[in-house]
Amino acid sequence: MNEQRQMSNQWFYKIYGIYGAAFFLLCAGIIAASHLDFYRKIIVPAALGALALLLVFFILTIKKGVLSIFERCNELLDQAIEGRPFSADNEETELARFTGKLERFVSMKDKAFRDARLQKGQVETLLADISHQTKTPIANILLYSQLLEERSCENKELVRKLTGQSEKLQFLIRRLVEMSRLENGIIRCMPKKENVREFLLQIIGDYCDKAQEKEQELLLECPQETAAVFDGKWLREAVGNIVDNGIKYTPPRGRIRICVIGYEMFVRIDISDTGRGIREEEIPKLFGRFYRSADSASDEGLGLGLYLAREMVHAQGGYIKVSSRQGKGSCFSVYIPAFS
Amino acid sequence: MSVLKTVNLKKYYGKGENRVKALDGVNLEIQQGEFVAIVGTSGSGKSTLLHMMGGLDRATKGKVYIKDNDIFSMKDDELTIFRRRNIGFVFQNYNLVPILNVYENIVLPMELDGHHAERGYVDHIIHILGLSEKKRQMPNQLSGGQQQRVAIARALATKPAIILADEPTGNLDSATSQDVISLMKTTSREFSQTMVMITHNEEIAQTADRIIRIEDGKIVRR
Repeated sequence: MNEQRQMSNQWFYKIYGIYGAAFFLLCAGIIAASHLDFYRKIIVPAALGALALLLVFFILTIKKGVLSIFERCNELLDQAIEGRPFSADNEETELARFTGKLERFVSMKDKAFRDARLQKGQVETLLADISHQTKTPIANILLYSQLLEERSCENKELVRKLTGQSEKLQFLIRRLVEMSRLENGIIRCMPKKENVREFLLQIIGDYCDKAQEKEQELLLECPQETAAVFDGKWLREAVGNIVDNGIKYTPPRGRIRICVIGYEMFVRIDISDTGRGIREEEIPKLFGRFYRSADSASDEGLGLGLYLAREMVHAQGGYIKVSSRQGKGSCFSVYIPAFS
Repeated sequence: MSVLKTVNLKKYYGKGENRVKALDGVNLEIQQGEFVAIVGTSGSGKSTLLHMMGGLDRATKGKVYIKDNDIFSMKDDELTIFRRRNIGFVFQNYNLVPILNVYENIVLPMELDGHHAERGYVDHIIHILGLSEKKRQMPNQLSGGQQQRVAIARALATKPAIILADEPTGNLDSATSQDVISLMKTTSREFSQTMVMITHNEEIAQTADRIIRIEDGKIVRR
C-alpha cells in the first residue's frame, strides 16, 4: 500500500525537487551576478530570465493538471447526481482511487434506496391483503348480525350492540388502511381543475341531515366561479371530516359556516363553527395521530380524522390552519392550490 | 437534527445609561424541516435576533450555531461565503437586483458561488411559485407579491440549511400576504426546507408549526 502511494506521489516529489533546485540556482545567480563584470552582467541575467520563464511555464503546467483533476471530479459528481453509471480507470493514481471510492459510495446508497423501495412495495401488498381479507369477514358479520336482529325477538338490545361494534370495527379498519396508505405515499392524488362551489355543495349534501338532527345551521358562502386544483375524492374526505367535527363539537342550534376566499395562488376554504373552541396549547397537537383532547374524551372518535384530513390536504399541495377562541368556536382554514 | 441553535445570545446597543438590551439571553433551537414563526411587537428584538441568526451582525455575547458551525468565530470573508451557501434570506422589501430579470435573480447566488444552476430543480421551484410565465420579466414589471415570490425562489434555489424571512409580508396587502405565506408553508414542506419567519401578525404566525414569542429581548413562550 505504502509503495503504491509513494509511486503516485512521486510526481509531486519530482516537482518539489525541480522547483527547489531552480529557486536555489536563481538565488545563487543573483548573488554571483553582483560580483561579475559588464558582459557577464548581461549573459547571466539572460540565463536567469530564461530559468524564471521555465519556472512560470512549469507552474502553469501544474495548475492545469490540478484543475483538470478537479474538472474530472466535478464531472464524476455530476454523473453520480444524474444517476449515470461510471467506472474507475484501472490505474495506480489517486484519481482512480477516488473514482473507485465514489463509485462504491454511490452504489451503496443506490442499494439502500432500492431496498427501501422494495420494502415499501411489500408494505403496499400487505396493506392490500389486509384490507381485502378483512373486508369479507366484516361484511359477513354485519350481515349476520342484521339478520339476527330481524329474526330474533329476544336479546334485541345485545344484537344491536353487536351491530354497532361491528360497524365501528369496519370504520376503524378502513381508516387504518387509509392512514398507512397515505403515510407510505401509496395513494396517488390526481388533482385536476374543479369548481369549488359544486364540490362544497356535495359536502353540504352529505352532512345536512346530521346538522338538521342537531337543529344546526349549515351555511355556504362561495363565489360561483371559484376554481381550484384538487382531487375531489380525497378533499371530500378531508373537508368532510372537518365539517363532521364541527357538527359534533357544536351544541344544538349552533352554526357551521363554510366560506371561500380566492387568492392568486391559493383558494382558502374556512370552516367555522360556534362550538366549544380549542385551547391554544392544544392546537399544535390537534393533528397528531390518535390525539384526543381531554375535553372530548367522552365523545366518540378515534383521533384520526384531523390527522388524515391534514395528510390528504398535504398530498394535494395544500395545508390546514386552525384558529380558535375558547367558548366562541373554531375556524379551520383549508388552503388548496388555485387554478392559474 | 438541530439546524440552528443559539446559546445565551445577547446584543446590547449603546453604552452606560443609554444602553439598550435588544437581546438579553436568548436560547432556542430549530430542527430540520421546521417552519417557525417569531412574533413580538416592534422593538421587542425580533429583527435583531434574525440578524444574529443570519450572521448579518455580531452579538455582544453568546453563540449561534448553524449546522454545528459557530458562525461568530468565522472571519468576515468566511462568514460571507458561509451565508451564501447555507442561509437564504427573504426581506420585507424583496431586495431583488433591478437590472436582472426574474430567472437571473433566482440563480444569482449560485452564479456568485461559481457553479451553474441545476436547471430542472430551478424550473421546478419557478413552476411551484407560479412564475413560469414571468421568467424573462424585470422586477419592476411585477407586483409586490410576485416580487416576494421571486425572493422566495431565490432563497430556495441554493438549497440552504435554513431560510430566514424578515417580515416577508410587511409590504403586502392581506390577500397577497396569505398567498406568500401559503407558498412558504407548502414549499417548506415539499423541499423539507427549514424556515424561520419574523412577523408581528398573529394570524400569519398561526400558519407556522411553532410560534416563538419574544418580548424585551427575551423569549416569553414557545
